[in-house]
Amino acid sequence: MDSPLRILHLEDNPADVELVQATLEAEGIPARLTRAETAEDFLAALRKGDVDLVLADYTLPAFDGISALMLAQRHAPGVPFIFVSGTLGEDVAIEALKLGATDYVLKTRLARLGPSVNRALRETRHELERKRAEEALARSERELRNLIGTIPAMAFVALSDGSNEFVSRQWVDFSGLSVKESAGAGWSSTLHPDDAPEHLRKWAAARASGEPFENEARHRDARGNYRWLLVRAVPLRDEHGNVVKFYGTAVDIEDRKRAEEAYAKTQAELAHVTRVMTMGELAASIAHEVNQPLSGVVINANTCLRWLAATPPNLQEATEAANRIVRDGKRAGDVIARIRALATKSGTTTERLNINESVREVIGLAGDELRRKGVKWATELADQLPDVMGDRVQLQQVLLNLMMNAVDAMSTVDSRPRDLVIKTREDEEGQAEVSVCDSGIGLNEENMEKIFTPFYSTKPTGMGMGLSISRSIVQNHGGRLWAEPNDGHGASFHFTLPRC
Amino acid sequence: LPAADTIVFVVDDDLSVREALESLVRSAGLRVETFRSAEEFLARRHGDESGCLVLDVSLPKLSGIELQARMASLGLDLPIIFITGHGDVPTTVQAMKGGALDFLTKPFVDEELLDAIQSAIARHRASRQQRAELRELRQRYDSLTPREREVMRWVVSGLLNKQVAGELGTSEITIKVHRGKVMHKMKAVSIAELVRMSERLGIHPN
Repeated sequence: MDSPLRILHLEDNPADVELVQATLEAEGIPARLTRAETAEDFLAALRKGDVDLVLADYTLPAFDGISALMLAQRHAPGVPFIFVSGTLGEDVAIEALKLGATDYVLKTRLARLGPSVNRALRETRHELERKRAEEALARSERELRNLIGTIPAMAFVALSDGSNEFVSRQWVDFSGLSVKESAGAGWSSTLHPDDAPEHLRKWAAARASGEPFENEARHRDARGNYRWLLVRAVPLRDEHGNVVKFYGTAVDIEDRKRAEEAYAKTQAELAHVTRVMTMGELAASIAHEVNQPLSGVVINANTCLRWLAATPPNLQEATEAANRIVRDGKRAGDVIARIRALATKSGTTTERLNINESVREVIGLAGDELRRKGVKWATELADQLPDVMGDRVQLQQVLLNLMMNAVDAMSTVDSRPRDLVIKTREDEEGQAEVSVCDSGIGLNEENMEKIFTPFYSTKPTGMGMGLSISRSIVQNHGGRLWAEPNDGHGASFHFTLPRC
Repeated sequence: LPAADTIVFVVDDDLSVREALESLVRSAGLRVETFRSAEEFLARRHGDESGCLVLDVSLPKLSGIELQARMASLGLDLPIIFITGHGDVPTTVQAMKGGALDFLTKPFVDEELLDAIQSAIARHRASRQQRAELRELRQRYDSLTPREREVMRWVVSGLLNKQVAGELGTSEITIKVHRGKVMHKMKAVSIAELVRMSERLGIHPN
């Protein structure tokens, strides 16, 4: 059962108050009326705060309705205020409603009071509910914002056209741009000029396709330093599947990037050191590879002079000899260039290459070493081999390492031929696969994986870095390097490289 | 100039070296045949040609040293001049013990190799000639009767006819007849020559 409606009634005539009470009761609205006659009484009642509804006469001997309305609005906002008055015309009624009165009922037509009160209470209730909902929404938004504020990432919302709608406090702190400055395309002014085209292209592509977005790009921070951010965004779709917005985060990965770069640099240096060490082992073989064409040059030069000194001089033979000098000189130069590339400490350069060619080049450097170690080698190179994207020198290093390991594995083998076979093929996934198979001492289950860990070596003089570096080189190329025991003797090492 | 059936064989797996040597040998007015591998060289039909073999020590499959041994077992008689990119002592010793004539380290100048080739060819020709002569002598000796061989042995020992007759228990005149037949069949013009022939045939005087 509803508690009686608490009504503050501004009225100088007690009879009218009784009349109103009776009218409301007749309408089924139990009410408890408090009468006020002066401004002081009225204000005191309002301040007590237990008022559900205000009824007010428009004209009073010591007070007036409009002033009462002002007081009510200030001290009891949201409490419905109905004028119940005898006189006054339309214009005054309109003025009162304009000022915020809920309704206007003439004393001569009190029958309207019940419905008016009911409507006012209904509206007040609705208003209250709306306010509560708004407050709840605001609270949840505030909580969300606080939550977003605790995530160690910057957050943003973008419209489907890519323009920015919201950025979190972390972004503001990071970039030094206000929410307003970041809005629209404002955020993009922080992009590093080198990264901007790619970043914006990917962002546009994600919006066009409605796919999630992910990219790493350098952004300028508030102090003017560029830092790497990993930016991700996922689309929000409406019920028709259309992208309405993108919700995104940006994580500062500068430290990770730095560590990665330092790691890559260390790895490159280590690779260089092992490469130079391998070349040290290969010095005699390399000398041989340079010496062969040089021998050709010396003999051809002598021969050329002999043909010229003949009577009559044989110019055709002399010319052919001179041409061979040019060819052999170039060949010696090529070998030197290859060695220099291996010895030089250089960054990674990616190019399209055929791995068969790399195999031939490496045999060109190590062939004499194989011969010297009594190793018979053969190549089985696939005609149709997909090109790969890679660093020529690094891949040669991997091949050299695997070949030298094979030679070492066969160095104590005397009871059977020392056979080295280098094969290439296109595997089932369309990748280029290289296999280096030996007839050496082989691998057991125990050292099958251990051999790939740094500083693990089965050789007395080994540093234990070769295979671990080779594996990381192959992995950096998007490929795989693994070992297998052969059916008979020895082991096979395989690596794959994705086609380009 | 060497005879037309004199051939210089070159076996080297390296194109630069092979082609250079081919032209060099031709410039000295010699016939030359080149091969990329020991197997290729063995596959060629080898008759009675004279000459020499210029052989790279380190060949991919059958090595130069292995080819040398194979040729010896096949009775393929050609003097060998080894060439190598890096002369290591054990290999050199093995090659020379196997009868190699020379061992040159690349790069060498033309004269070094051509001199070696010329002397190899001369040596080969001389030894072929000696062998031919010995074969001829052997044939002559084979045509002697046992009695004549016996007489020859005593004669080259420096005995007079009479002494030989005494040793063999026959007449001096019979010995004289035998001795005349020996000199005739062996085509010896003097006792001194017959002595040299017996030495070459390895006949020991009594």
